[in-house]
Amino acid sequence: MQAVIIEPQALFVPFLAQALRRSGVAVLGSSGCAHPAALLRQRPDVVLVDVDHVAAPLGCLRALRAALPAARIVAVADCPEPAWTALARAAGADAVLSAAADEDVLGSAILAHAA
Amino acid sequence: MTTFGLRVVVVESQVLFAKALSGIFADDADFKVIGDYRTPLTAPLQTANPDLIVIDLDGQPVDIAQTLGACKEGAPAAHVCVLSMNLSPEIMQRCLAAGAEAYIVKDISPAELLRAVKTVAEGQSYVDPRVAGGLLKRRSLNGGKPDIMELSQRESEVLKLIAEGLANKQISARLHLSEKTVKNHVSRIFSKLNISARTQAAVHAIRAGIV
Repeated sequence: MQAVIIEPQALFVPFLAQALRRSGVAVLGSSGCAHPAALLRQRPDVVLVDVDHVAAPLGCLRALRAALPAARIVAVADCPEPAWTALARAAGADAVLSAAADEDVLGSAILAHAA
Repeated sequence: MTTFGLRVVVVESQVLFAKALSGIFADDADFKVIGDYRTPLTAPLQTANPDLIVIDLDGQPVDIAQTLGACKEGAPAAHVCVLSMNLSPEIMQRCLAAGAEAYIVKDISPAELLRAVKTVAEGQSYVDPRVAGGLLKRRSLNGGKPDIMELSQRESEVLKLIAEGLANKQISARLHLSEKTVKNHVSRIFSKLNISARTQAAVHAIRAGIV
C-alpha cells in the first residue's frame, strides 16, 4: 500500500510518514499544497490530508476524489464535529480522523479504512 | 555546545503533533523534554521550571496575550518559542510583545526548527525571515514609520483612551492600573510610534481605526 501525505505543516511530515511506515504503508511523498498533481499522478492507494491546514479543505477533498476515484482519502482534523465530518465525507473523504489520537491509532485507522 | 540538556516543555493542542514535536526534541541530545501539554493555562509550568517553552499557537483556546502571558507567568525565566502557520507580521508582533523570543512558521523541517530554537537558547531572537520581510516592507511603504501594530494589547488600550482625551490619572482609574504604570505605557507608546505629544498619539489611533 502506498500513501501520499498532504500536510502544510512540513515540520510534522517526518512523524506522519514514520507512523505510516510503521503500519506497513509506503510513503510516496508529501506536499504542503492541497492538490500536488505530480504526486497524485503516482496513483497512491491512500491520501492522508490535514484538513485543518490546507486552504479550502472541502474543495481539496473534492479535487482529490475527482483525481483519484479509487484511492482512500483520509482526513485528519483537530476536533472533527459530526456535521463537518458529514460534509467531508460527502466531499470525498473515506474517513475523518481526530488529531487527538496518537500515531498508532492513526496508522491502524488508515489500514482499517483502506482495507 | 552550551545548550546541552536544555529542559523543554512542549505545548501543542493536538496530541498527534505534540508527540511529533516532543520526538523532534527528544532526538537531539541538547534537549530534554520534560513535559507536553495541550495548553499553558493548565500546564504545571512553575513545577516543571523549563528553560524553553515551545508552543504551537494554532489551536490554543484563548488569545495571544493570555496564552503567552500564562507561559511567562508560569515560567518567567523560560525562553518562549512560538510556532504558527500564520505568516502575518501583526500576529508575530503580538507574540513578541507578549514575551515570545521566537516566531517560527511550521512549514520548515525539524532540523530548521532545532536550529531556530538553539538560537533562542543562546540568548538571541528568531523570527521567520518571510514574516520579518513582510514587516520591513510594510514599514517601507509607511515611509519608514513604525505602526500601531507594534503596540501591545495594553498599550493599544492606553492609546485608545489617550485618543478619547483622558489624562493619565483617568486612564489609571479606567484600567485599574497605577498612574506610574500608565506613565510607563505612555512613554513606550511615544517611543514605539516615534512621537512626542498626546495629540499625535490620538492621530495615530484615529488613522488606525482604534477609536
